[in-house]
Amino acid sequence: MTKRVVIVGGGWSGCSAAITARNAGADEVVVLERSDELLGAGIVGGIMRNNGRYTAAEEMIALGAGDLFEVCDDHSLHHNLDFPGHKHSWLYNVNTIANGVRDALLAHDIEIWFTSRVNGLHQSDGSIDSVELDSGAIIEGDCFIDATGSVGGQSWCTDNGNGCVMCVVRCPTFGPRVSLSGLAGLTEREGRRPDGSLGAVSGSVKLNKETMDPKLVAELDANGVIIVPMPQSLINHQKLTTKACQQYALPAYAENLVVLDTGQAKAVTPYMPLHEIRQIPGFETVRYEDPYAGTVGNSIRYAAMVRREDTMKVIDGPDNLFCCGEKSGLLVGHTEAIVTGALAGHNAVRALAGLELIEIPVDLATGYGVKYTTEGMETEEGMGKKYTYSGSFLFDAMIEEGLYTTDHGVIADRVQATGMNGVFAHKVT
Amino acid sequence: MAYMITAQCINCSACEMDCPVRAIGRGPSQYVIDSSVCIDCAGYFDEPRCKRACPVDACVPERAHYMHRAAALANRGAPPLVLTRETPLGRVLVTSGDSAVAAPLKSRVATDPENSSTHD
Repeated sequence: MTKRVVIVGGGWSGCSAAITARNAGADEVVVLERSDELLGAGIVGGIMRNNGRYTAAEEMIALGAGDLFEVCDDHSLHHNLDFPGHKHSWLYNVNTIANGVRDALLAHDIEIWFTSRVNGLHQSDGSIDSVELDSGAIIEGDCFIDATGSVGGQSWCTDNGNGCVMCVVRCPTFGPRVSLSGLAGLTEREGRRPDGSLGAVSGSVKLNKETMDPKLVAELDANGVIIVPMPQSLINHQKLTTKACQQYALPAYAENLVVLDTGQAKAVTPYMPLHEIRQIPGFETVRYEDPYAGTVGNSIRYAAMVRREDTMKVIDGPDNLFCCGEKSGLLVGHTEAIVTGALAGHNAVRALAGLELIEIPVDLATGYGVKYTTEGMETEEGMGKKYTYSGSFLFDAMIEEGLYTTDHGVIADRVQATGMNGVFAHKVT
Repeated sequence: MAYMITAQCINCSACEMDCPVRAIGRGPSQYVIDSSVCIDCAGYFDEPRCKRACPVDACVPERAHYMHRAAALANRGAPPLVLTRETPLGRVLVTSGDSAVAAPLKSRVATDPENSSTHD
């Protein structure tokens, strides 16, 4: 019998899930994407392998889920770059990465549906039978993966931020994000900021390179990073507490404008009024590229998450529903999304085959991070935090546990010791 | 005259349940009132029920220019574009009418030219 896995959401986690589902033996894998391009919020990313993400990336490659890391490496502009608080980062080109991921998915014979926003769901006997698109098309499936993320629709940014900021998510154009778990009737959990408000403000903005001082651009292109001291009048330490990316909540980011070359100029600040950013030498004529309303704010994230097992199976939901990426919790970043996506895709097929689901052991940094996040999110304090392999307390804990390393040999041995070498690359039996 | 629902709609469904003539249904991005059915609750209630039920004041007397906007919103976006290994540039999937179609995956898309137009 033909088994079909339907993934709702074509971001990093959904794409990762698609590949592992296919490799695990799903006959048909369909990715339904609301917009007209893959990666969505991931297109504003660009940073791989910084700090503990290096360990995580190499572990995933050894575990057999290295496809997307290879695409990132292929599209990298800068390797082993250091910037404040971050070591050995690789920066991929955000302008070309989505095509690379698309080609990787098509090469795996995965079907991608663009402008295919899911807005309905049909269930019977505790299982999802199909999802329905805006166009009226009904997509049947055997197993479903909620990779809808936690960004948008506009109402989140209105209620908890400064309104729609015209970010890459483009809700007004393609329709707001719809949560598959929400359609299934599950109550979603909400992350909080230290001041108690909901969600988190996206932590970086994109600047148009052509509107920056050519000398700064040349330096940025050559070195991958520029650190420009802010005028004293602009330094605002308060803003750091609102950010989604706790790994950048360091004083260096309040006192300087740190800009990374991801093809675009990625400025690591939640937002700054245009007239203020233009007070920084070299940025006198700068314009925002994303979000377009950079003056007034940034997108709100981490507003709608679902309770899940460490296998990525959704708890108390339909029996054929998995989740990954931001939907699966406060584990922040593309590397993290690829990890949870790989688990969701693989386990979806295991579930269809009637096999026991797997977790990544806590002996590995990746598995440790997943469990650490699950446990953290059980407390109110923990819901106010963000978790990432690349910094803050999860990275500190990884170092303390001796899990952080950039030694490929050590990582290969550890993965070997778990007996899970290449597990995500092979058919389940 | 009839009532209409503005883009303030939060999809709560309160209006749909309260409408005495069942003029309200779920649209692609919000609830919509069928103006050919709506009677402004004349003969039923003094004040239109949807206006009273709506928590965000989205139910208001119909404004002609707004209906054009609502139609544009309802038809925004594009039909699904399906990419496969064989058709990496994608093909636009045009579904006929309002009828829901079963998953037109692979073979079905390939063998059903009536339901699809190619862009590759």
